[in-house]
Amino acid sequence: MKNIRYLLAGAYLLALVGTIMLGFSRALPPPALIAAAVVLVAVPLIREFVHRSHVDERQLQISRFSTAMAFYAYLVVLLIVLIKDYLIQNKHPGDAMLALLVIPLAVKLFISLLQNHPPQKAARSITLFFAGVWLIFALLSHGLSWMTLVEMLPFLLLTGLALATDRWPRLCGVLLILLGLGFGFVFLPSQRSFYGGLMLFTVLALPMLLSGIALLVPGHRQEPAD
Amino acid sequence: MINHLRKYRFLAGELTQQELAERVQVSRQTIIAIEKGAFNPSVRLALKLSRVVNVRLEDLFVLEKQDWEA
Repeated sequence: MKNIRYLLAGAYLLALVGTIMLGFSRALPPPALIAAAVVLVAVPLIREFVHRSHVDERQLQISRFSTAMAFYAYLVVLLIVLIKDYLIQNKHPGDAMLALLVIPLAVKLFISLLQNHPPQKAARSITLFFAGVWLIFALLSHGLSWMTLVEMLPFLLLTGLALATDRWPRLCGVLLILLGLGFGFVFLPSQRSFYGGLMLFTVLALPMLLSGIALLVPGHRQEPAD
Repeated sequence: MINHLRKYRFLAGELTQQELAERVQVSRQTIIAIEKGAFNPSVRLALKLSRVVNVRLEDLFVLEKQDWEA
């Protein structure tokens, strides 16, 4: 059994390297390449959510620690690229580069919040965070004007939702999902680039969808009183 | 935290690391790491270990003074 696991791990690595090489050499048609990439990325992700009976807790700890270190190594490399290419050569980072920087950080933040806190508290924190981001965005865009007051409406809506998550978690969950879908379907097609849209989806729509789903998960616990 | 796993493993019928690992369903490297103090087991694994070597948990794993300091 142990040998089969090693064999499978080796086959996975081989498939990963092979797919990357075939992708760069354009030997695979795009649909096949995309399908292979999705499967190869999904396999280790599934492992994170499924109980791995053959892996004991120390091995799991090592696996997660090495993943965390790989994440920080990725960020360091990205920062080096940003500093070298954009600060020193004075170019403007493109949407793809910003997406590479922002999306992993946002995913890490949301997962930490949702795992560390009860759903109401996590949803409230995420919603308040975005309300604050929206307020800053409105103030920076229009300064102190009537337009700012109009653009503050989403801020007020989000703040109201954040404060109501304790009292009406399910209603707020549904509203957050609708807001997330709204951001996803209304704002994203208007983006000028695919990567810009992807980044906006991750930082605007995804957290609201996740918060809404967390509030709707059956049997969620009430936040204990302090 | 100090542990007396090695001592109690011998007292419990001179179990080898491999035998103990199989009894608590972990790898031998994990038992080695616990005995060296390089890895602190979860409550579940600690309870399993204490049951296999037939000793109370607080006799197997002992907190040191610095464990109480943040």
